[in-house]
Amino acid sequence: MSIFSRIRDVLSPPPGPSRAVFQLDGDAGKVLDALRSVVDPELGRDVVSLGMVRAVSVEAGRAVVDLCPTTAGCPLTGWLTTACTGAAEEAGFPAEVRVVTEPPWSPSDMEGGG
Amino acid sequence: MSDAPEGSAAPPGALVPLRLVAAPLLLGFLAEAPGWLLVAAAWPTHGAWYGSPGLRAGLHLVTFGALVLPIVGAGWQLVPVVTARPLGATAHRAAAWANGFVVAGAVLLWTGLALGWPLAAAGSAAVATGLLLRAAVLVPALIRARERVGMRAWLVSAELALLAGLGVAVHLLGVHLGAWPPGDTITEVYAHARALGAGWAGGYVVGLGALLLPMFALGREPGQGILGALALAWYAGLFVGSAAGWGVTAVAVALLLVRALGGPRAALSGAARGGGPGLVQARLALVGLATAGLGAVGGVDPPLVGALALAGWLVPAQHGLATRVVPFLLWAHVLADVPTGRRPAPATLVSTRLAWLQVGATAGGAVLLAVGLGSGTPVSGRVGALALGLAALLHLATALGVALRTYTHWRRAQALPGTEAP
Repeated sequence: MSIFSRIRDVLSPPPGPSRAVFQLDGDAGKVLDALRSVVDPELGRDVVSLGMVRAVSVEAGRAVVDLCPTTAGCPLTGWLTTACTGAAEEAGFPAEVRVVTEPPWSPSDMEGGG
Repeated sequence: MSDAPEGSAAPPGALVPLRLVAAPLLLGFLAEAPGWLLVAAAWPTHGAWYGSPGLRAGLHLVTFGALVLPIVGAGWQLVPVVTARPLGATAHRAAAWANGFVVAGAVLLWTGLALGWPLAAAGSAAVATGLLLRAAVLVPALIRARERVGMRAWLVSAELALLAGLGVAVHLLGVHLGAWPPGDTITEVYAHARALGAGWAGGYVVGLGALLLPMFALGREPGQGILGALALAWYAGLFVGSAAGWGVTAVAVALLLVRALGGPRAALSGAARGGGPGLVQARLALVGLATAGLGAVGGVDPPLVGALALAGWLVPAQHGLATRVVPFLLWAHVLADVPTGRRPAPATLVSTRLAWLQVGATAGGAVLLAVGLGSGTPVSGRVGALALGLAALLHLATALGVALRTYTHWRRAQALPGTEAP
């Protein structure tokens, strides 16, 4: 590995695989599709393709969504949580949206690898 | 664009009361342009940089307007984002008091610089009280947090630099009031500018920039370890090392933040994709920082390094970040609960034409100012200061335009049936 590659890796570590979910089957898939209607107002893209949705599960008709904001502590986190809850409920699934920050969001989490 | 369900009430999240941010920010935006005009009027014809009352007043209007007041206001909102923890109601009450001291003190200080030193001393005392109260609120929150140790190192170091800068200011004021015999005034003025400009304001601009630039560009936050190491090198260069040491660190910081801006722009939509005028200006500011750093390494005169840092880095960095932060905050406070379909995106609240003109005027003004200082050509320096004054007016107009558009959208939403106030 050249010295330049080492410096580049220190400044910006190579991205790992995405930790987000982009496709699911059954009821979880319906919830995920509904979450695609929630658009981050600042970035102009939906939370699923941004790679903010880490997990979706549905048990007894109730959805649990793990949402990782692109920036931990982002002031819009509460708004996004409410929007995701509303979108899932519109799809027929009362939902609990949990905010997760570890591991932190990275551009490589985006659909298509950012 | 589809987001929250109709009529939903979003929880406030980590938003602090808008008045805590808006009051210092607005006064700052109002003060910057008159400051640059005073600098232009008082530009020395024979290099007599020290002791000019007009220049001193102008620079204090510029530095308070472009840096101190915006950092005080924005810090209440952004430090909790760095720490990922809200400040709490008691801290908000203290913040209101701190803002009151800083805002009233700034007005007294500016008035005193025109009318007499006792008033300036009273204003300085009020500003110092406000800044120290603010530090007393923010530093414990920064130390207690677990997130982002590198960014927090910049912000805590900035508050330590504040103590040094205020100490020198007290001595300079005492000399002017006749309380102490004069020392090496030029060295003290350098130390004051270094501690409060590169130390306090610079620490906030780098620390918060490392948060905001990747946030807006969808880039990756810089590694906290390297950020912390650069903070150490930066403050060592400022206070115990050499100007060249600081200069090398400044170039490294600029390179690190350029990396943080390298987000996947193709993945974004609309104004977010190109970054808009705000992020373009933030990039230009990093060029200014690197240029100031290279100037320090090359041993150019401290006033020129200072001018490059102020007009080429700090001022455009604040203008650029504010161009993104102000619409975002107003949107979050006022328009977030407006129903889908009637709610604009934050980026559309900005008049891009005004913002681009501001970017151009700031960049042109910084170049002319540096040429005027570097070549000893007063006319270039004066025109540069005038261009920066124009840029400050455009910046103010952009911010007021955002407020007006926000209000207009809010009124329209209220006028439609089935819509209630957030």
